[in-house]
Amino acid sequence: MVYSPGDACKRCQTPLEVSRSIFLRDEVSSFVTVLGASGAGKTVYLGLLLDMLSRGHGNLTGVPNGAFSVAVQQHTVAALEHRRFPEKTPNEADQWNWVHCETRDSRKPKTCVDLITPDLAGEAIAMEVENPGSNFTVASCLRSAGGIILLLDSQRVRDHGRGEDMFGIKVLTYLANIHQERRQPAKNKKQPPLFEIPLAIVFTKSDNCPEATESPREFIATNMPGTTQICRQKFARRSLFAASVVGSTMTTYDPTGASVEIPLHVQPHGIVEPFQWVMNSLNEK
Amino acid sequence: MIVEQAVFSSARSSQCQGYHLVARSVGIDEATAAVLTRWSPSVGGLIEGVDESLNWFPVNDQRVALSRSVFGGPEYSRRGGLQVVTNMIVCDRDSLAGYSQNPLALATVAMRNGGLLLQTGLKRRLETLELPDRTVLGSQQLNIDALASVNEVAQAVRFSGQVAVTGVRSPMRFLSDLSLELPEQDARRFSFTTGLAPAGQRPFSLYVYGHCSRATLDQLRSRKIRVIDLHQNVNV
Repeated sequence: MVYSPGDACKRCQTPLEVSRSIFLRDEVSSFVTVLGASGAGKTVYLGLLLDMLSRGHGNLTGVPNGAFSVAVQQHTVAALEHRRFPEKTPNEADQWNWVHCETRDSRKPKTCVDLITPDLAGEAIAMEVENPGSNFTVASCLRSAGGIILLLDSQRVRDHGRGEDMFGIKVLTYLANIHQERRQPAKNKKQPPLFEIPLAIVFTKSDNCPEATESPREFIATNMPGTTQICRQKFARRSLFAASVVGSTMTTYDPTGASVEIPLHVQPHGIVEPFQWVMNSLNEK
Repeated sequence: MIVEQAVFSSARSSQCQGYHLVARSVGIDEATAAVLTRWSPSVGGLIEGVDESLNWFPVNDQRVALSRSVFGGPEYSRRGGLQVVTNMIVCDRDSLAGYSQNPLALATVAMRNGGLLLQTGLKRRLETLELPDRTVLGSQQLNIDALASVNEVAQAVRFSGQVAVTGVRSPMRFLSDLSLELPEQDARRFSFTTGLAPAGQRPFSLYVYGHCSRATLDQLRSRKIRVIDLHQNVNV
């Protein structure tokens, strides 16, 4: 098949280069996908995660596959260096930047986990969750995922817990429905089978929400009881994290008079740990 | 005639955040809402150098939508930039007979009656809009000077799939002339935009641009959309 590097599947918009590299590699692949509501911090999280993996972090090293994979990292790092956050991600699927990073743990060099995810627009995720099947790109990413990193804005969870809890319930219910075949056998007849797919829940922007950092478990139980319950009932492998990218922010105004939040300095915390946990969970299988 | 109304923009509510249908009238059901959402632009949806776009697209076999996208207030999420606000009206195809099947005439009448305009203090539930059943604005004579260009584009739309026309001095007049040239069966599946960037989820049959930047041209070419540059009178 003859294709150009920029070609993508017309149905799900996955770059053909991603499919090709997975096909040619003679190893088992596990995909990890990052999702979250609009404004949860997906672009910044992904960009910094890639930046840290590409430079090596602890036992982990990540190699981006293809020039397109560097776009999110480049865009995010450039924005932060200029003391601003990246622009909002468009809803249009063909405008999304795709990431494919082949990550290896030096302790298990033969095993590779692929961080494969588009930098999704939160609205597209919300639309697919509300109306399953309405967004093929989102649906196919989530269906193919071997591990999920779900980002939740810790400040919104603290200040508007009810709305965020509803979002969490909808997303987890959706994931449980599309991964029906991945349930592990029930330990006894009274217990329903649980899903094996590793689920990392990350409270982002925790620099302004110390309670999320101190105890993510208490934080979610207090503010998102419905989501907590579904996690316990449905997902066998789950873990909670708090993450932040900047040490502090301030509010300023752009030439149009709009208030804009700007990062004062970059101080990543808890960025790689959720991905590392998902990777370890996948390697345990 | 009674038309339904809807607004698509970026906002934060208890149920949703980001770009979504922030307001609609009672006749916009979920299926229609999904179509309107798909055809509406989010951040960066307007092409460079354009701050207003008129768009026309089919909702289903019975209904069509006319929308107007403009820049609104600041993006609520404090990430800078202005939000893109799209005001829409939805009507039955049959009711366009009184407008000579001319979407531009419908747009003019709608705006004179308060539709398609940027509003503040939106309520989630909009009222329907009552418009005259017919208007003389649709009854016009073809601009003879532009006949050759309009004919070429009409043929291209009929046989080439998606077409972009750049270097158009007056997109509204051009589209009005084109509506007179298209046979009715082609007009039923015809869609256009005067300022939205090409996107896979919005397969307009016709893009009518005044000035077109290099970046937009590249986007058009990458989607294999035929480009006719009227400024230089060439196919690009």
